[in-house]
Amino acid sequence: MSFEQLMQHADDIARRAWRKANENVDPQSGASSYSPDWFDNLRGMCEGVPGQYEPFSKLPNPSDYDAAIDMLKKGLEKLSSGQDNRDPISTNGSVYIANPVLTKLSGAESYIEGWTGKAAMEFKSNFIDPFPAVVRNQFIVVAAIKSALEAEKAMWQKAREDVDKVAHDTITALDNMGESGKNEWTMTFTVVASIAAVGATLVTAGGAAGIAITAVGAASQVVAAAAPDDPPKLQVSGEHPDQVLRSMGDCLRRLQEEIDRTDKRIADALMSINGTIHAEKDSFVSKRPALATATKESIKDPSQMGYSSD
Amino acid sequence: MGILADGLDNMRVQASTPGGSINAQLHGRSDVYVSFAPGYYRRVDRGDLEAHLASLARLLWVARMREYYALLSDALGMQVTGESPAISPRDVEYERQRDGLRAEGRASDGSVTVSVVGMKTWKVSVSDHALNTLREEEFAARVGEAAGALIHDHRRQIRELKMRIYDPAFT
Repeated sequence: MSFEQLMQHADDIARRAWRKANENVDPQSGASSYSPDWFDNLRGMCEGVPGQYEPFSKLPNPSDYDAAIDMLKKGLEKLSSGQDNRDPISTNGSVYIANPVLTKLSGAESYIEGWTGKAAMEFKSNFIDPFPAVVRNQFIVVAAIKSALEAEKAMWQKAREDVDKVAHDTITALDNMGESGKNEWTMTFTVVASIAAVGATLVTAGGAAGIAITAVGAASQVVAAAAPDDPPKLQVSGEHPDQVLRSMGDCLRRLQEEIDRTDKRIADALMSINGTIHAEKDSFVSKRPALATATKESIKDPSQMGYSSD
Repeated sequence: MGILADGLDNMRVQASTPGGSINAQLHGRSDVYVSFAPGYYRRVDRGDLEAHLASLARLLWVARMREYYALLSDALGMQVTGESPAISPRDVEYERQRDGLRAEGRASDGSVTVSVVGMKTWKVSVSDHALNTLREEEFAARVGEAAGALIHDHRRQIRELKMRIYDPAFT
């Protein structure tokens, strides 16, 4: 069985529940053990089973995230300055070869050494000096976005496995009703443990203490994380077809809640990082150099490059 | 993950008495086949035969339950080796009544009767003239027939008990 056959499983569950109900007859009289009202109720429940699985059959395809993850890997390649070029969050494509283009800006320092204008001075202090920190922070943020996508991918993968398990366990429970033991089973919601939080530290341009952020990633791919939450479990039972279907409904409702909760953890982490970026904008984006506004006529003005001492 | 119903339909378990004088196989849910070691059936007296068959029935059911839990574990994707303890009053009551269930199976000619209480305490009765009149293969078939009837009787009673204790109208 697999997620791709989820709607077939749903049909199978409905058919099996109905068949099991009709098997429960007195061998002597052939009369059913259940009342006509009970059958009416069960018919409605059976007809509703495909509808209960239908939203889950449309869960996103985890592989749909691969293209975006690969794109962010290319972004990390561009932002790798050579110093600490390891992904600080994820083990998926962990080391990025330094991009030599990034060394060119610090190399520009010698070209403006002899100039006296205000914009020339500020170009060094506001642009050249903080540039390594800005690049480093952008590298970390792109890594955090990439790991959030990896978390989403892992979440949908586990959500698909979980809903497939609910369907499979329901079929097993229907098969198991005639046995002498109590018909009970436990659903484990692995989707909750599919993601993990991991801390990263941003560099501050002024050399102050770094800013801590908390990223999320796929539990199987983060570099070092706090132990993931124990996946929650739900123990359910059912000695009659309607009871088994009700337990199945409980499991599906709980699964939806756990998916929503996990998705919110990813969204919250991204929102928090977004807030940090806005609060510390200078640490992520270089100021626009005043020299960018220079014209042929103004370039040698004291407010711009001034005069060369050479 | 396997399908439990398929596993139960295709189950194959077997058991032998200590010493190997009688062998029994369970195919599927209720088909029981019995065979005797060469010469055993001719020599054995009725009392020993009844005791040996009762012992064999117990061993066969133990083997069946072991295989059942293996199939259930496979279907659920997790190790299940037995029932969880009964906690709710309803579960406690179910187990109490189940442990007292007396199931019985009788061969169509009345030659063999197998009974059990709580699927634990087994008893086999062989009629007076069965040993003298039935050939070995015929007798083995009668034992299998009685055992199959017992399994059906037990399943029926379990169904009825579950109807009483886990009343679908109250859920």
